[in-house]
Formats: sequence, C-alpha cells, structure tokens
Amino acid sequence: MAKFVIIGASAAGTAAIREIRALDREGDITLISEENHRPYSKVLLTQYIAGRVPFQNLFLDDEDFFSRMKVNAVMGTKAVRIDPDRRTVELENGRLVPYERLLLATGGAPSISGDLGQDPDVTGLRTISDAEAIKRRALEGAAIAISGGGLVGIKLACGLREAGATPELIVSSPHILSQVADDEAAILAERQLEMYGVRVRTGVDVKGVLRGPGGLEGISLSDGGTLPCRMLAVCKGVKPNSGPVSNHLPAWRGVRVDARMRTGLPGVFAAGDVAETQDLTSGEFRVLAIWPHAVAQGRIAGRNMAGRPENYAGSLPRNALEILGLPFISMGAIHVPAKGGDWDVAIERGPGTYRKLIYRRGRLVGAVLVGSVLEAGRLQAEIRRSAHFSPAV
Amino acid sequence: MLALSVDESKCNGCGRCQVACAMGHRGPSPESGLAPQNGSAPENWPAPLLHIAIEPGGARISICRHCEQPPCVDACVAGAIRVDRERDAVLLDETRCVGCWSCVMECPFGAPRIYRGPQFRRPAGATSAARHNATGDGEVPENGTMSKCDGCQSLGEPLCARVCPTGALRAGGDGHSLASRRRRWRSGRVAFAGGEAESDPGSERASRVGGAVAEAGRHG
Repeated sequence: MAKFVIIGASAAGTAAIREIRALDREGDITLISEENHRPYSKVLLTQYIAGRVPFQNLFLDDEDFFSRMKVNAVMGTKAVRIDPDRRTVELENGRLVPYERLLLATGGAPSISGDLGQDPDVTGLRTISDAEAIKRRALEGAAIAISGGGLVGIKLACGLREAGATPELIVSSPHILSQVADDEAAILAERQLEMYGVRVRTGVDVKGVLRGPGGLEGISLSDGGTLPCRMLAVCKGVKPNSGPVSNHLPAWRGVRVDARMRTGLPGVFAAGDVAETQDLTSGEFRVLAIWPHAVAQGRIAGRNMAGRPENYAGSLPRNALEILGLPFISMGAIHVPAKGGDWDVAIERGPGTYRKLIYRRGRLVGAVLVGSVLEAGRLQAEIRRSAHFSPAV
Repeated sequence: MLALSVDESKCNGCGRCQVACAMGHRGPSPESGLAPQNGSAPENWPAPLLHIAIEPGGARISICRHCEQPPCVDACVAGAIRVDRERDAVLLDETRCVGCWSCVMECPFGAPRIYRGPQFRRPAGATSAARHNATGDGEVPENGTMSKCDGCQSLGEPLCARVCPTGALRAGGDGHSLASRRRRWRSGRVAFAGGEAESDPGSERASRVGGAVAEAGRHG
C-alpha cells in the first residue's frame, strides 16, 4: 500500500489530498501541519480582520474532511528535515515518518528583516494567530502601521479601515503595487485608499522601532521622520518554507519543480508557495505565490504522486483585489522593457477606470485593469494562448 | 454538466434571454406578458445572470458553462463556488462570497459579475477615536458578491433557452453525460457552444481596446 506524506495543510496540500484520495482509495495518507487549525484560507484573513468573514468561514472544508479523506493528520507539529535515502520525514519531536511519495506544500513565511522580527509588537500576516493579534489590537483602537505596498499590505489596510481603524501604509517604492501595476494604475489605487481614510506614504522605508515602557510607541523612517503607532505589520513578501529539504536541494528562492511537480529528489514533490514553477510570460522559473496556482499545482502533484502522470500548464502571474470599492486586476507581463521594440501598449481611460493592454509581437501578453475589470477572464485566456505559442525567452 | 448549449454564432442580440433571466430569478414570471423593450430590460429591472454583447466580431454571450473542472472554483479563496454533482451545476454560496474578483479574473467566458450598488457600511466595533472622518460620515464602500447563471435550479429548466428564438441558447445540452464530459475534459477536448473547443477554454476572438488589436484567432 502506497505511503503518501503531505507537509502543509493549505491550498496545495489539501488539493493534493483530494486528488490522491480520488485516485487511490486505500493508500496511506499522512498530513503534517505546523498549525493546529484544520485547513483554512489564508487569503481570507484580511476579510476576517475587516469583520466581513466570520471565523468559521475561514475554514473551507467541513470538520470531517480528514476522516472523509482517511487522512492521518499530525497537527501542530513542524517537519524539520527529510532523509531522502531512508525516505523519512523527521518531526520536531524527533518522530520519523516514512514516505514513498512526499509532497512539500509548506508555503512561505513573512519576510521580516533583522531586528524588526524580534519585536513583539511587529507581526507578519500569514496565519490565523497573526490575524487574531492584528484584529485584537485594531478593535482596541491601537494605531497600526503597515510596511509594504503589495497585495497583502493593501488588503490589510483595507481590512483595517473597514474594521474602523485608520492604518498608515509605508511603502519603499515610489508607488504601491510596484510589482503588479504601472504608475498610473497605482496612483488611482493610492487615491482610492486616501479617499477612504488610509494614509499612504511612498518612497520611505521603516528603519527601526521606538519602544517605551508600554510597548511599541512608534517607528522611525528612512526619511528621518517618525510615525507613532502601537503595532507594525510587515507585509513585504514571503520567503518559501524550504527548510525540510534545504540540505538536499538548492533553494535560494523556492524549490524548483518540473512539469510534474517533481523536485529532483526521488519521490519528493513540491507545490504551492514553496515551489518554483515556469512563468508562462517569461519562461523563467519563479515562485508565483497565488491561490489558483497552489490549487492547480497541488492537484497536479497529487495526480503524479498517485501514478497518473499529468503535466502542469505553467504559471501566469495574476492578481485581483478590491481597494475599498475599486476593483483592480493585473495579469501577465506588466512592465514593458526599456528597449521593447516589439512591445506595444493600448491604454483606455474613463471616469474612474483605467485599462492597459500590453502586446508583444502583436500578441496580448499582459493587462492592467482598474475600475472596469469584467473582461479579465477572457483576456487571461487570450494571454495564455499567446504564451503558449511564444518560445520561452 | 448542465443541459444547456451555447452557440454565439446564432445570437442576434435580441436580449430576450436577459429579460427572462432577470424576471425568472428576481421579478415577475415570463408568463406575465411583459415583453422585452428594445432588446433589453428597463433600467430598474433586476440584473440578469447572463449578458449579451454585440461586438464587431459578432455576438458574445457571457453565461456560465458549468464547466467540469471550473477555473472559478479553483480560484475561489472563500470556498463560495462549488461543483454540485447532484444538480449537475456550478453553484454559488452567496453567504461565503467576499467579492474578491478572483472568479472574474479566471472565467474565460466572462460569466461572473459583481454588481456594485450604493453599498456603504459604517465600520462596527471600533472605538470612536479610531474612526476616521475622511468621507464625512466614516463610511467605507463594501464589496458586492458575485452573481452568475445558476442553471435555473428552482425553475425547472433554463428560461433563457426557453425564450431564445434563434437557437443560440438551447436546453438539452450536447447529450454528453457528466462522466463522458469528464473524460473529454481530461483528454483536452470539451463540448460546449454547439461544438468543441480547447479545454483551456478561451474565447474565440481577440479582444480589442483602443486601436491596437491582437488578432489571436485560433491556432494549433
């Protein structure tokens, strides 16, 4: 009887479990999760902070998911390392879990630089307990600053605003959303945030914390200024949790996988935010940590682990979010290179809307949509077709 | 899946389907004698769950195809969309939807919509000191929830197909069972729209914005 071990209980891990169980009714599935909660949606945490999603709705599966899937769940326990020769996973309590097929679906952890990470009033936003801490402080009326103008930082700012707080967003780039939007789209988003009470400070970074007897009193900024606050949420990206395999695989950014989600270690697969997959728009291998990728990769990993070979279609960077009433979607290649002779853009502006389509050699390769986003799905299909017929560069 | 087939090439844009859909789901029944006016519902009528647009390349029907392995379900971060095997349909749980636009970003048929009315909300639970007054009254906009075709679950048959005069929307589907659809999907072909298409189900035409055009067409 096959022995499957899954490390990580989020989108990729649970998608793999479903797929394996659908194909192998008898196989032995063990799930190892560092957290003590049954699977929940990390993406909903800002909505939970906002007060729009009740706690029980964070969980996407019913309570008997594990028993229905006949999963042996080892919860609240961290997997420390694997031994690829003996094919075992070592847990933090010293226990060894044998595997025939192993899925690394460990996700990522907030990237918090140096000293900041040591401060008890500085947090990332990745887990239920992070969200609980932020929400508690917000409801107490504590001033909260957010470092990072990416998706998570903005969603947290919106969530806190909806909860009645007045967060400040500290962004080191000249504009928010610098990874996924052009300046014009970002400025629209910044205006929307400001209009509804989120202060945005761009071009400035958090330098350090100012502590007093009662805890955090503020933060110092790179422009020499200070900002009073009682809590700092750092949302500056995540680093892949490649710890269990780091002795065996080069995991600078993430764990690189092939189209069947194989890592190169025998019987070891990876999926989700820990995995480096091929970006359809550039051909590069990258961690493209978005929910639909995690689900698709988890499913593909599960199929291949269960002995049904199937290839992953590749990753397409894309993000959707709502900025206090303003929808925003960006997909594919957003930034036109300086010497982009064969690149072309088409821009359409309307009241409260901005649409930019990016073409390369006459084919759609990217889109930024603000305010008017309903055609996004059709555009994504078109971008995928373009990518399919472009050689990887 | 759902017994409904879509053929955009037959659509003349009359809009009866939208009126029937809107009435059937939220308004008076189509038997009440109300007729579509100028091909569209009056402004104050409820929104339909499918949408017709006449574009230079022909009609475009944005309606849920109730896919076998729906990209919207994979993308839903709230567990709000599910494939209902008993009803043979992709269904939405509005109580879970948070209006995050992920499904809108994924659906190659442009089926999911999020409507935004004057939805504003005063944040609850915060101390008054923390309340901001940027909008005068401290209110912030609230997300809508997604809406899309539900296959007329409570109405017995898809009303849009019943009123469609051209056969662009037809009840009865393509005659393929759920299991056969699944096999065809896995093998890369899936039936809908009166024919077959790739199961990376894209639109048939290039979209146009401004003057720049990508004539993607069909390849491969």
